[in-house]
Amino acid sequence: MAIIENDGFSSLPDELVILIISFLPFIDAFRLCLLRKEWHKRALWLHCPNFELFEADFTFPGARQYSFNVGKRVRSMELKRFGKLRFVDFLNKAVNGLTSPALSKFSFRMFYSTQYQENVDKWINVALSKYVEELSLDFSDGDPIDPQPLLLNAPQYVLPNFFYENGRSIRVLNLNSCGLGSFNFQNFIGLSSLTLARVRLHWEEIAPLLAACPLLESLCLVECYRVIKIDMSFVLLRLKRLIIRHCVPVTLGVELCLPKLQYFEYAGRMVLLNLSKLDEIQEVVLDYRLDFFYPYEAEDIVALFSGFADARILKVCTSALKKFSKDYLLYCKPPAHILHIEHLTLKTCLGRYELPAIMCLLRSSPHLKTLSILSSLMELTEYQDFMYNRYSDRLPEGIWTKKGWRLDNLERVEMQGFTAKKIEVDLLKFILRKSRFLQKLIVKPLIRGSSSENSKALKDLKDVAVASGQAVIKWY
Amino acid sequence: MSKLGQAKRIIFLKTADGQLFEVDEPVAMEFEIVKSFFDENEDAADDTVVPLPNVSAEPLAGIIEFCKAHVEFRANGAAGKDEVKKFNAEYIKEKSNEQLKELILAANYLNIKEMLDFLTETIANRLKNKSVEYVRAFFGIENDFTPQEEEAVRKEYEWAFEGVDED
Repeated sequence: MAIIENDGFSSLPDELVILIISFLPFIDAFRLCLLRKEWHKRALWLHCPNFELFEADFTFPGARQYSFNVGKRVRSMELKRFGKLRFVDFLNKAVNGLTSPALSKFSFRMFYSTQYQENVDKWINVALSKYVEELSLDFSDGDPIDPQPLLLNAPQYVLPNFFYENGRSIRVLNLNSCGLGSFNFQNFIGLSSLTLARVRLHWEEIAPLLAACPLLESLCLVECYRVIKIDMSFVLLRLKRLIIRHCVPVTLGVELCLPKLQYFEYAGRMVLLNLSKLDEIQEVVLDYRLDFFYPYEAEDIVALFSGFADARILKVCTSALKKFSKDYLLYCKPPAHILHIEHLTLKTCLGRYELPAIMCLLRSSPHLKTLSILSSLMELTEYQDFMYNRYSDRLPEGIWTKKGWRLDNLERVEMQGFTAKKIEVDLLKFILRKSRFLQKLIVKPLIRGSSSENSKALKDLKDVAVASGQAVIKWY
Repeated sequence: MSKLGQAKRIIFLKTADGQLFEVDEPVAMEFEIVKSFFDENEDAADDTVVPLPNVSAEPLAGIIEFCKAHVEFRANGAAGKDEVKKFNAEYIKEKSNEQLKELILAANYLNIKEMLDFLTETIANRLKNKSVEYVRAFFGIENDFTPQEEEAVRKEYEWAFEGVDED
């Protein structure tokens, strides 16, 4: 083994290049082999156990943008088709050549059309024969948008039966835009994480089959459609993470009884959430979509919060919590039972109508340590729904000076997207007066630099009789 | 108590450039090649010098430092903890790419799986999302494509050249 002096890594023996490749994501492994003709010629990248490829990478950049010019559009469709051919060709060759006897990851994204069914079958078969641990099959066009109604009826790739028979090695499974087929998960004894995106989901049929996976800890449902109800009581008792994002229509709501659940995220329309036995819950994210119609009253929301009374971290979009009446501002109503919250994040437009909900949340969390307010500029003038006018009059007198409770554990407050609106300044002043142990207030204005409004607001904040001796106001 | 009474066994290793290293037995046994040397020559005397014709003194010193620390970590039950990560990060920080390569070749020859995995993973992390030109310059890899070949490869695998970090 003669070592030539000072030739850097060029002389590295194959076995060591392959060892390096085994730690690399596929694209980096392939790129590494493009460094030297020798490595490329011998296709050392075929040893990479983390296979991942996207059709979009094969399309020429020009073809990725939508153009209003018909000629350009035809041209770009042709380029796309050409890109697809190259992608399928490359994948076929690669799958035939993969040297690694076991795959940690096999993942591709290709917008499906029926002529490729055999190819896809074969790719999946090879991945399964190599005991793949993480399998991602993505047949979407890759843009994270709402499913287009037209595409819902396009022919889909339907997971074949051999997939369910041979899936023993799979630990992580991600499926996007495909038919679920028989959905027989009996053989998936090692499955610990499942993501279903843009699939037609008949939950009541699927739930009992999923219950067959003893190790399933994480479940993620994204943009699934034809979902009537998601009922997770008496199934999936071991689930630790649950994400439900923009599933439609969920007419009959979501029912959860998950004693091991630690993380719960819901994004989308306000639907009925029925929660029980969430004994180990740590973190809850509720990102409600703005809507024209809010079927629930404030009391329902307050009761909902009581469902995760043990959570320590809460992120909530208060822009959608419009039905809290002024009574909550004057503390005439009982607070929610979320006593253990330590970290609260509010996604908000800080409109007047949101203030009751925000006050209710602050008053309900006496152990709050950090508060982040993500203020968004979007004035809801376009959402001129019936709620908007309810608070078009002035806020009730005396809400900022009302005594009776304190934020005695609050250490850190951060406000992003500050625009020096009166309500923002008032809220911050209110917090400064209420928290005796505050250490830091961080304000990040929406537009950097010093405008006259901003400097006036800063002066205002500094003039407040701050309850805490150590509070530092940081301005970015 | 009996163990304390025994003198620690020392293993002698001789490098390609003729330097003699005295290494504690548990550390030397991390090297598969040394281990199999003693497995094959069971009657070897305690002061047998194991020749390592493919390793020079500098990388061997580095390897001994690494293995010694890791043997101690394992003895203290600290394996896999933050302490180890901290040590590994410190260890690798000071090393130039040339030194890294020497270490890898030596660790490969001595057949130390744990260290080899750690070193190659470090290299892999330095390669991620980097452009071809950057990696060539950074690791001193000679380009053996002709300009025509390079252009053809670039055209065929355009996707592999895209989406890299700014150098």
